[in-house]
Amino acid sequence: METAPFLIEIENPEPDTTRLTLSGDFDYTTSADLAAMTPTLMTSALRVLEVDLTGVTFIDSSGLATLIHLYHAAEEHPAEMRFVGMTPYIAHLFEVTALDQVFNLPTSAA
Amino acid sequence: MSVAVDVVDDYLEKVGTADEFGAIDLVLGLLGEGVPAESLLLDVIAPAQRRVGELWAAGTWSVAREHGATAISERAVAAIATAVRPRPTRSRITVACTDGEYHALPTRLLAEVLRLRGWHVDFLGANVPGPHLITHLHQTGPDAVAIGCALPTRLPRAHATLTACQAVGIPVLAGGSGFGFDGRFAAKLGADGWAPTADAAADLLEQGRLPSFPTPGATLAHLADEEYTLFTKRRGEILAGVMAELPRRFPPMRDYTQAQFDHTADDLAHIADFLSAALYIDDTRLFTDFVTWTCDLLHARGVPSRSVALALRLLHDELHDFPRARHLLAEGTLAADGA
Amino acid sequence: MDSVTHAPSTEVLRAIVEAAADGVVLCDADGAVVLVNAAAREMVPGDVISLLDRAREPGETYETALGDRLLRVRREIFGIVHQAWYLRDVTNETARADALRAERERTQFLVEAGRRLSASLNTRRCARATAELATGLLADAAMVVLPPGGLRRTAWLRSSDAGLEEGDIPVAHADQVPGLAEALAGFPPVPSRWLDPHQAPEWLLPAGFGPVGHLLVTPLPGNGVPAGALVLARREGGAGFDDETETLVRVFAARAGAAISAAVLYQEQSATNAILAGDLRPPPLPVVEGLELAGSLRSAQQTALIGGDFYDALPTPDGPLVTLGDVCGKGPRAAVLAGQVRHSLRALLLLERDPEQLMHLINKALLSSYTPRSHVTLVLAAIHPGEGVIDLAVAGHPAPLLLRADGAVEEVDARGTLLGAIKSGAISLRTASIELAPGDLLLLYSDGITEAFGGPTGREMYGSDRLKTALATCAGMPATAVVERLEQLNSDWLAGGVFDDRALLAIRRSR
Repeated sequence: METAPFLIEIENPEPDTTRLTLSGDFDYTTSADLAAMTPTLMTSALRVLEVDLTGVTFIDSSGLATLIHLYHAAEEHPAEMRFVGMTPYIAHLFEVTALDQVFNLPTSAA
Repeated sequence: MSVAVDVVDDYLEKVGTADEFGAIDLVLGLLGEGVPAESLLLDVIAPAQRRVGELWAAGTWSVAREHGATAISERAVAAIATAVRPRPTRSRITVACTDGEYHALPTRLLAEVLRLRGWHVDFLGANVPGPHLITHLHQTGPDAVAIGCALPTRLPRAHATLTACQAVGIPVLAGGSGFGFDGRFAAKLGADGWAPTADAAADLLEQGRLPSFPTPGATLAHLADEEYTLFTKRRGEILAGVMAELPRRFPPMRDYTQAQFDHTADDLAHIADFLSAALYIDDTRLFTDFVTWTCDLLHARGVPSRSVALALRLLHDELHDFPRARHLLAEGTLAADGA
Repeated sequence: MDSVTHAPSTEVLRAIVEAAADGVVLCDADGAVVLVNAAAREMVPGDVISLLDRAREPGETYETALGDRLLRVRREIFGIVHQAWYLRDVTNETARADALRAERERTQFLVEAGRRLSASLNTRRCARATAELATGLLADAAMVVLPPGGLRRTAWLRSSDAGLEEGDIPVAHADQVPGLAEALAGFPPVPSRWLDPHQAPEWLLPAGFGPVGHLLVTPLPGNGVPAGALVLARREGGAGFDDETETLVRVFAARAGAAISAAVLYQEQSATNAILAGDLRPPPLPVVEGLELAGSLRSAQQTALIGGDFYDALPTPDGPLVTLGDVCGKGPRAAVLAGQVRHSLRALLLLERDPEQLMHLINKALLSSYTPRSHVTLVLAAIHPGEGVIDLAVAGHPAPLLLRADGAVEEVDARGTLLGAIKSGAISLRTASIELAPGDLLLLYSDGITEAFGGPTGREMYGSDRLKTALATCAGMPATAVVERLEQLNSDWLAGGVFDDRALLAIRRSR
């Protein structure tokens, strides 16, 4: 299988808001990138962390773990982390792992 | 004491009706009457399992019935192995099915025959990953490794395993119908020995007809044309192309249900598997025998085999840069037309 | 000497023949010697005629001994009526050729030794290769005595024309062979030792070997690890070990010792690994009256076959508790956490058997774990074998599938939160209780099955729909056959592609 490269884009639409746009295969081999980046995202101005997963083609348990880690980091900061986009595949995955009851999901996909 | 012919029928009837206890009682009963364990394995269970395969191929038995019967035979073999446990007097032999090979019973029978004849046998089972087998060989240092391969489609992976075993200095004994009815694929892949049956394999080992160190294998010079490599790599798009074209050339397919469509895709994938094995080994008969067998199988099930010849023609058209594959497909089409 | 009509004069012949570098003996048509040149006289001071083999045809070459020298003689037609015998002293040439051949033989021997000894990491195979290689060029019988693995006995392998033999001796018996005990100790390094053949104890030689002429004990140097010793024996009447052979033995022993000591280290490490990994592999499933249990586990890590997927069946007085789970990550690290979860479960089962309560307890245990990211997905199935009732809790894991005896497939309506993930410790669970009629089967699986990428195009996910379709074809099969078939279909789907850890476990109520 050819894997889609994992990419992370960071934008600041508002001074207190950071938006992460993830795309590609988010798995065991690629999740370390986001894990390493997590502490640097927690700037003093940060209040809202938006995560867009629309372009993510695959998530495995390591990818999920990294998202949970990010969620906890935001919670402690404190900042509100919300998901602003995802595919039905990811929505199903969140449902199976019952993370839909923990995470802030867009109403359309949940 | 030899085994009467009707014993095989009796046993077959029991495994075919999921009568596990009946089958086990039958073999253990014969064992108690003095029938040698090896004879039970090779003259009762092995021929009955061959019949199981034929009954499935003829469409008489369902997949579920075939699998159920095989599972019971596995347990019958285990019951015999538990009842007769000779102390090992000979050295160590590793027995394994090649990576991707799930037809473990013939290989299991070999393992048990060798055990009965006093070898110290490590049976690793079905579908053994190459790295695991090599680690095992380093750990145990057997005198030989016997590799079972039931289907020629597993030959490329069997070859990788075989070469890896030889590279760590262990001679390889090849067995199973995947290596060809006369063992010609085993010879071509550089196996140190080949045996058609479990008892022949045991005899070969007993007579010391394997070298103590493997001889460097022959190289498959024809692979230099990269047809095998490229076909494996582009297999997905090639098959997708054929699947798209099939309904245009074979109108009944337009009304196929998803299940029928999936079934056709499976058949096509199977043709591709044999084509790639034939490219790897460079053997036309490997492919034409398969085509004839498939057409016979479809006839037996009342399915027209026209689609096979058509699929072969479409593959032929799709593979313009593959002269060796095109030759195989042309021969295959002749075989399909003749079937 | 008669002159011959129409032939060159004797003077002319002499001039030609004396100019030749080779020895020349010229004869006339009747075979009488006409001329012997100076080179030939020097080569053969005495009777030269006896060296000439008249049975040879013109153009033929042969070699003949003259004292300690070797002459090469060629018969030729010379001119019209004469025959010439050319003589050349090839004593040195032959000696050089012999030396060259011997040198080539030694090189080939070492190349073959390198090839065979570098192949294996197994002590016995390396010892066997050493003994078999040494038989022939080096000795009539070669025995490798391996370094003692324990205190009492030590293994040996011997090769001779009697074939390969193996056995062991009490470690104390090494003292019967001078130098052997020291060689086996590995330290301090000792040189090779000649033995008086009469000193050889019976066990040292194959039965019926005959009288021994020469015996050499060489330690196998093991780079700090004892690698054993090589004992070489030649029969009485055969050649002894010359200097060149001894040098060769030393070089060979160094290579064999390096191979054996590397193998010894590898064997020790892999034995340790096997013990540790053995605990992390799935246990054999228990036999439960009225039930069939079958499992299969394929690990992405193909050497030790361990990974993050796991299953277990733990007996309790009320019936077995079956579990299947998946810890975050891959390989040994994941396997260790999986092992911890299994052990926790085993301990917790002493206090609690209800799947829902167990999930809460394991979640707490994982949250307090020192291992970062101890996230686990889990299915717990408490089986009441008598009635065929199964209480199920599912946490972050794909819901199990039910295969009814008639081939209908249902997904169990149970779900819950991933364990060890949410710091607050709150998890939500929707449990289920199902009933298995005789012939029904419950399938637990990990996402490695449904997320397998492959298919005809190689890029498609297997998905739960295909799994359900495949499962539906398994109605009526024994549990082992179901698991085997599903694994096989999944492997065929992958078509040799990369796969994740995959686990399957089937619980079937017997008919």
